[in-house]
Amino acid sequence: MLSYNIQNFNQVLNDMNNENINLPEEDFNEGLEDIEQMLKPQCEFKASDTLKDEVLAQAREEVKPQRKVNLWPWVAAACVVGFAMLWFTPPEEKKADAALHAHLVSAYHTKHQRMVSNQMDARESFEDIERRLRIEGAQLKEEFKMSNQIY
Amino acid sequence: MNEETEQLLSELERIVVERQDWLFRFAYMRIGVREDAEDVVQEVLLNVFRRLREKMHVESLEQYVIRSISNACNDYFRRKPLSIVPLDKAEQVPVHEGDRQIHEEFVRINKLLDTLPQEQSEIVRLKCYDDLTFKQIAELQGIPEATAKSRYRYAIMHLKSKMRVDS
Repeated sequence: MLSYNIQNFNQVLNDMNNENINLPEEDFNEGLEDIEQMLKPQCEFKASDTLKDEVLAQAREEVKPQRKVNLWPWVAAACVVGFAMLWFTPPEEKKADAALHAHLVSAYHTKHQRMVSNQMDARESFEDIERRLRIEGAQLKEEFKMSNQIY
Repeated sequence: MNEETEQLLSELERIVVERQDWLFRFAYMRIGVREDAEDVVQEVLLNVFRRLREKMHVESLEQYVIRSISNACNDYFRRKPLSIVPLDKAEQVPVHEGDRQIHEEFVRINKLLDTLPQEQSEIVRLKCYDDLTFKQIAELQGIPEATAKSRYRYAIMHLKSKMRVDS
C-alpha cells in the first residue's frame, strides 16, 4: 500500500526542518491519499446536548437590560442612619432616671424661689431673719443631698 | 427584549447548531477532556455572540471562529500546564463510556503526529482533521501559504517514512 523510495529516507529525515529544499513531486504523491485518509476523523464527535442551551442561556443573560439606578449608596446611607439611631438612643432605664432627676431639680428650684420670695416680717430683727434663712437653707441642702442619694 | 436582540440570538443559535460539533472536535483533539473542551467551545461561542452584537461582518465571522477556537486551546494549555498527560499514559486516563471512542481517536491521531515537529503536526491536524484550506491555515498560523504547504509536505513525507519503518 505504501511504497516509498527507501534511498531518500535518510535524506528526507535530515531535511525535515529545512523548508527551502524541494521534494520530488512523485515521492510526495505516492500513498498520499492513504495517509490523508488515515489522518481524517474516523468517528463522529458530538458535543453535549446541553451545550447549546447553556450558550444561549448565557447569551440571554448578557443581553438582559441592566438596572440603571445605583442602589448601593442608598442602602449604605440607610445602614448608617440605622446605626446612628441605635448608637444615640438612650436605654429605657436611663430615660426614667433622667426624668426623676429633672423632676427633683425642678421641685428644688420651685421651693427655693418660693422661700426667697417670702415676705420678711417687719417685726423680725435682721439677725432673726438671717438665722431663719440659714436654718431653712440647711434643711433644703439636706433635702437636695437626700434626693441626689436616691438618684 | 427587542427585535434586534432576538435576531442576534437566533443567529447565534444557528451558528451553535452548525458549528458546535466541529468546534468540539477541534478542541477535544487538542485537549482530550470533554468537560474542558466544551468549556472552551462555550467561551468561543459567547465571544462570537459578542462579536455579533458589535455588528461584525458575517463573512469574517468564519475566520474569527477558527482563530478564536485555536487561541482558546492555546490559552487553555497556558492556564493549565499541569493537566497535560503524557501521550503514552493518555490511554489510561479514565473517560466516560460514551467518550471511549473519541478518546481512542484522540490517542490514535496524537500518537501518529507525536514524532512530528509541533508546527508541522498542527498543520496536518488543521488540514486533514479539521478540514481547513491552506489559505485558512496560513491566515491562522500567520505564515505564507507556500510555507504551510511546504510544512504539510514534509510532515506527510515523514509520516510515510515512519510507517514504512514501523511496518
